[in-house]
Amino acid sequence: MYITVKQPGARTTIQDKGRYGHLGQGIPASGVMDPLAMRIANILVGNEEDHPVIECIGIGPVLEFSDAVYFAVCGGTFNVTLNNEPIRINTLYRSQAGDILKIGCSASYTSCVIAFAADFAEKPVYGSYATDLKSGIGPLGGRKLLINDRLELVNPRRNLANEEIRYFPPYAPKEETVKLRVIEGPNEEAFTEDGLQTFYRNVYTVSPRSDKMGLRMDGRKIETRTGNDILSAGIVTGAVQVTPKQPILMLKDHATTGGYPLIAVVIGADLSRVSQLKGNDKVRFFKVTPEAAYQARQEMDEYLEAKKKEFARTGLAAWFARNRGVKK
Amino acid sequence: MRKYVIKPCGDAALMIQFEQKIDPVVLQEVRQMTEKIQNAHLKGIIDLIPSYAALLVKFDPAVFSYEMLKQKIEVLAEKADRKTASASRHIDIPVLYGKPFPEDLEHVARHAGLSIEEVIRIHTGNEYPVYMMGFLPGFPYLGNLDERLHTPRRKEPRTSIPAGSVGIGGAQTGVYPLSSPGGWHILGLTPVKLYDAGADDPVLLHSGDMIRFRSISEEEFREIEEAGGKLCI
Repeated sequence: MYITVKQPGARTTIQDKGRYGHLGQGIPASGVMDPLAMRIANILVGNEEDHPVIECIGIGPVLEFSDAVYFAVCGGTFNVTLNNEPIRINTLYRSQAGDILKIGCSASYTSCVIAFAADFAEKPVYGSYATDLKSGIGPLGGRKLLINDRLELVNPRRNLANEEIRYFPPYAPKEETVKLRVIEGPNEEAFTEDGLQTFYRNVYTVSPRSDKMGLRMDGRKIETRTGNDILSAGIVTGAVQVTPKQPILMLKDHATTGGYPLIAVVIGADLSRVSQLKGNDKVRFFKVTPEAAYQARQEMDEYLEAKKKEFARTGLAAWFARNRGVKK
Repeated sequence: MRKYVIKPCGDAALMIQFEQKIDPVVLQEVRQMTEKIQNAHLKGIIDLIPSYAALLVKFDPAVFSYEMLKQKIEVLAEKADRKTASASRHIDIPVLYGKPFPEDLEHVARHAGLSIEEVIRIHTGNEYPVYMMGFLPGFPYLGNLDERLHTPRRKEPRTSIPAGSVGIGGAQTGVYPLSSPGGWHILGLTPVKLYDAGADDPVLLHSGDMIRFRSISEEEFREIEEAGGKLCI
């Protein structure tokens, strides 16, 4: 079976959790902006959590299904329709042959993913399905989806258990000031005590000049002890680099290394929130310990694991689970 | 005595920092640590990014907590050092100086109190070891930049610098293998492709190579460009 691209959208690509094993040659990880959305989409359709997905940024695509297949759209707030009928985000659906899936608009830079209960016929590149547009690495020759592309899907999985309970609650609405938990960065000593206080006590605004490499943060200038040049070293998604002008929060398309000091790094459990930020959003950074970050990540893992079990339940256990819900 | 410190870099990576200077001895320490971790084949290590004076270790937080991995690395580091040996390749990179941002070459000259000709003479005079690869696919970070040419990065990075740009940032010099934003001062342009996405081995240079820059004319630039930006090594 295949999926035909009727309209490609602004920036629609095949992605997975990222390409690792080549960072030391300067080949970036890329991968999905919102790792939580990828995980829940794949759990809904019964895939491994890091199965490749289609990622949509900003303006989504219009896709036509050649056959029946389970799918789920997860992540930020997009208007999604199937044959012009609105459908819910974070919920399992099954297409019929000829169905048209339309992912509408979202504020720029926010993302959603589409997972299918099937495999892409495309082959992984250097061990991954992640697409890095800048260096042209990934399936489809490292490019985004174009009009009239036909994406072939193979091994469709049928007969998922508990179709009717396969959904996740939508993301909570964005707070007026988005709180991001961070661990102190490896170059904290590059900043004065005043500089650190400035960073943690003030609200920063996401600049509209941001892109998928990084969110530029407008706000109070951060005082350094030793200037803004460090010896270039490796960086990670979620790291906050401080240039002489402003802090920049690194997103999935960031380079493998950088030469500005890292004041802090956003914890894994909050990266999904980072992926939903857009120009003019306000954020504030809160410092936590590595232990607290580990705890937050474990809680998220346990929540997803419990959902997975619930979805997979069959027979009497499933019957009890359903009826417990009804009695309430 | 320990020559490094380990710090968290988020909850899925840690940073091993050595003495923060560009120095062949420090480079050797980074390489030894990299090899020790590679050779231990720890499940849960996702990737390593060695740099001038640090090693970033990306790990799976479902396998390790920061403290657990830190302790493991400290134990590994205690193990006897193994010699690292690799023969260096010597590679000439042709450069058309003064393109495409002549104001940058002027800035570096003014900052150093030198003429433009002297800047080019000094920049082509040294041989530069490749200390690390990073920032972009196939981007070499080179050491041994003459101190007279050290120039702080631009206050605000440019949003686009063309592929082949040869630049200086702080105490570092290097070549942009593809078009990218960046904060370095651009001295010139090379027609040689340092990164080729289609190739089996898309990256031209490797850590350990020795690089020399050679000043070329616009005519030679065009010839090499028309020949596909290939280099005979």
